Amino acid sequence: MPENKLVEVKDLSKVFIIGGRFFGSKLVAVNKANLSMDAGKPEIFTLAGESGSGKTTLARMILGIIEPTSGHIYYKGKDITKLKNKKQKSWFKREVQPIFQNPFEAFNPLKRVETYLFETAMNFGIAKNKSEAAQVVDEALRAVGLSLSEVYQRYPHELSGGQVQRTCIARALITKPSLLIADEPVSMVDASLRMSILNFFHKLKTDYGVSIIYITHDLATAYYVSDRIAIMYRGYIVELGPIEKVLTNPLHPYTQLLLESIPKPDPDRRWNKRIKLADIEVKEYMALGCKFANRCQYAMDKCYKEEPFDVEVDERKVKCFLYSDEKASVGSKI
Amino acid sequence: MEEKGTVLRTENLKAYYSFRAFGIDRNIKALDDVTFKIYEKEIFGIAGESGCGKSTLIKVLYGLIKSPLRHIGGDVVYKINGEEKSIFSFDKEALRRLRWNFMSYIPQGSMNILNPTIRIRKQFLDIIKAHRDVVNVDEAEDIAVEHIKSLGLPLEVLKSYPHQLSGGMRQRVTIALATVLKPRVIFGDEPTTALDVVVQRGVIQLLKDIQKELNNTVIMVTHDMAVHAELTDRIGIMYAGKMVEVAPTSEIFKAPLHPYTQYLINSLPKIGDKSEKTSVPGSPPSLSNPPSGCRFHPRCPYAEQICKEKEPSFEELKPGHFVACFIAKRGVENA
Amino acid sequence: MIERKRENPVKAFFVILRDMIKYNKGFAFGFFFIMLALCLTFLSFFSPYNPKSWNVVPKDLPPSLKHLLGTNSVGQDVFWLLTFAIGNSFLLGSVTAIIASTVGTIVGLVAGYKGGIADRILMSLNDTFIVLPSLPILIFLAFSLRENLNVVTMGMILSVFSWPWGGRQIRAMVLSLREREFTYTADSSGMNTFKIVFKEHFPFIIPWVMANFINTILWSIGMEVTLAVFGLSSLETPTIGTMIYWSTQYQALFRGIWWWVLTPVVLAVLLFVSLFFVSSGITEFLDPRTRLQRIKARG
Repeated sequence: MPENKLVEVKDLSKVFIIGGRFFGSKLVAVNKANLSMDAGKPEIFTLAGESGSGKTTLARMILGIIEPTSGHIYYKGKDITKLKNKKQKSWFKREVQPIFQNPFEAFNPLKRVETYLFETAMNFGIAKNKSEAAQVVDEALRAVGLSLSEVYQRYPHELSGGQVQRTCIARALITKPSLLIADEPVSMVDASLRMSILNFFHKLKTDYGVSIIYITHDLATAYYVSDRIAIMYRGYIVELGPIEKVLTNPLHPYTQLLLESIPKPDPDRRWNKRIKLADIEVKEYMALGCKFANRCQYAMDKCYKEEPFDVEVDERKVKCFLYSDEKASVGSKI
Repeated sequence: MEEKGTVLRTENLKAYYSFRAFGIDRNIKALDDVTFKIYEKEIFGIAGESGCGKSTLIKVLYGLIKSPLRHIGGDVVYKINGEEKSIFSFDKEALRRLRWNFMSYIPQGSMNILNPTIRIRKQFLDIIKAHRDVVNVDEAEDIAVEHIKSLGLPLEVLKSYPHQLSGGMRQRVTIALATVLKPRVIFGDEPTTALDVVVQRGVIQLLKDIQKELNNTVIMVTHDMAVHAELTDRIGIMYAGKMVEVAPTSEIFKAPLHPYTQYLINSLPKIGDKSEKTSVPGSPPSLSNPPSGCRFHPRCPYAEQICKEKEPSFEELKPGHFVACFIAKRGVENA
Repeated sequence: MIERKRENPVKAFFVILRDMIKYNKGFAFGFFFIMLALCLTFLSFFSPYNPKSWNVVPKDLPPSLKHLLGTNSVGQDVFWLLTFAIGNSFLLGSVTAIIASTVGTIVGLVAGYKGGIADRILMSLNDTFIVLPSLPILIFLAFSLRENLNVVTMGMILSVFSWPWGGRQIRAMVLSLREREFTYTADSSGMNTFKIVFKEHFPFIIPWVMANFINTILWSIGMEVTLAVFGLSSLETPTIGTMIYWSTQYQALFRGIWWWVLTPVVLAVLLFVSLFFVSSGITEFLDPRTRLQRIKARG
């Protein structure tokens, strides 16, 4: 495997079996996902999609919490599902750290927050004793604009959502990871504090050289902070490319619908078109062909029968038959 | 400006949560001296962060005061058929009759209203029969069918159980149920928050349609400023249990006066705009022990001595634009 | 560096006890009654009579200063008999609860954390024991083992039927705790499984184990009473059950010797109510949600 990739995800799938081992139905949460991030070129990569799109499952597979059904994940050239001994696993945990959605759930509500920071410093051999650990912890907290004396002996609920989330980030930074996986890190944080966390992500990337996989349903914050984006729909990555291109000139009909549906924080630019919602939900997971075909205004016969493949158009990959034949004249098509 | 009828006004409304556990008493001042008006036939938005008291406010407006929430003082006055009445003057039975008929409530999770074991049709009929003097089932059914049709929802939903519907459809059915008796006031407590964006757009569209058709008042609570921009006519901004600014939506977005609102608006990310946004410094205060004077002063970049000592009054600084801030007041007066 | 606030655990225990007695009337009642019962048990060591010998005092005397709760028809002092009965019933309940809680907790933890094959085998076993009809089997066992029964063996037999309930619930708790985000945080903090179990999850599991322990005592004492009423217990050992058995054998109620019948019955009722209050008091106090409320209220 090439060593110049930080992460490389190859044909990664996850199938969940719902309701019983024998009679349960299959749910393909992630379907043959492919993506990669370069080493030595830190970036913020957004995984976006609605609930049930598989973005969290994909992220958790990269994090090593969920085992993939098929496919491979390489981190710095090593297949992470085949990490054998303790040493390798510990190395991976140091390298890739998570940040979760609900800061109050990320810490045990019955324990003081600094315990996790000290544990991290001690367990990974970053500090040899308590006082050294205190120094390491304080340093990490200062990086996120807090200090040890502010959070010391505090329970999570005694701090504000923004403070707890920043403490979570500080904990993740103690091991000096190369990759952070942040699952909806600001969706539970108040609007007035949200931007400080996103700004900090940006700083992490530029000043500390940390790459971040940012999982969100909020395209506006994705646009603000990230470099590249992958749009997921029903387990598939339907469009992947530079953020500027994908969000200002979307190619996949689903991306277009998504962007169209976001309310804009500007009372002068209200929607003037009406949309029609699907009356009865079609079982899209079961459907053959493109999962979006039922809702797609450009759907062709082919879309219901065959699964679309990735087409390289305009610096990005789009999973749509609209672009499979005439790669050149795409812009005018829609 | 044309004189509008007021459908609801509050006067120095105060409501606290009191906790008593193993000998420790604590009061959370969730609403403190809240005074504002809501006009007839408008969509009024209430915005603010978690814990600012916005959900408590609509609970009190809707007359849902249950322990540990206690009404401490002030009043909520409704205009019902031209007569002004305090919500605290109603007994349980009168409140029950007021609900669904005069005012109704759309919660965040549709499962709070829909009974999972009963078909939607029966739930509509039960509500209609309980609140209208309708004797026979056919008449009640007519009302339900008529309403579902007018909202553009498929009639098949009436035959379904709630779990057979998708989340978005369920939320739209909840809204249909809440509006079937054509209430004059509709409360929405984050009704679009848990939904996916495409479905959220459909629900917002539905709310707009209903308001247009019934020509009534919608009071919409959500933390999402973009939803407010899309839907509301006027917005009230709450901070730490206080109403800090009330103004028409376009003014809130274009010329906010309160420093907190300014931060809130300026920090909204937009697609196509990569300019750096900043957050409000500091953290929201604790409502059990709020700061002295103006509750925003510890985080306010313009704070002066007076802000720490005195509470700013909530005043109409420009026509239709109410603000509680010393600095903003001086700014407007000097201009 | 700020010194870590460490509370003296013994002192903390008494503070908690004081708070609970102060603010939870039910717990206070239960606690004091159980304390009283334990004192009575202690008194049995000073008993002037051997509880197994008959005809040591005059028969059928009503309560008096000499015989506080009167005497029965086989010539025993009811008060002193009672002190032994309480002790034996507590011993029986504790034996059952210790075995059942230990086995149940271990099975639940192993099934929950190991998962896979271990989980399936243990849970099949668990469910098999749950569906076994306990009363008929107990009656049969007690009937066939009657000669060899004593309080301890009885407690062991009862524990066979009470461990699976705890096992299943602990497994369910473990499964949900494992999926909580803070478990992932602990894992990314480099904490090993052992640490995660004992430092992160035990605070949530312990309250339940304690409440279950007391409930098992309650169940076990009640079961023994049931069996004893049928005469299926070690009848020469004084327990609450056997006291009721002998009093009905001699038709004490019809013969107006009410103090003989009423003493064990009232005691049983009071004991059940007390144990129930103590168990629900502990659950409420240790429940993570109310604990959080309390921590919040202090802050």
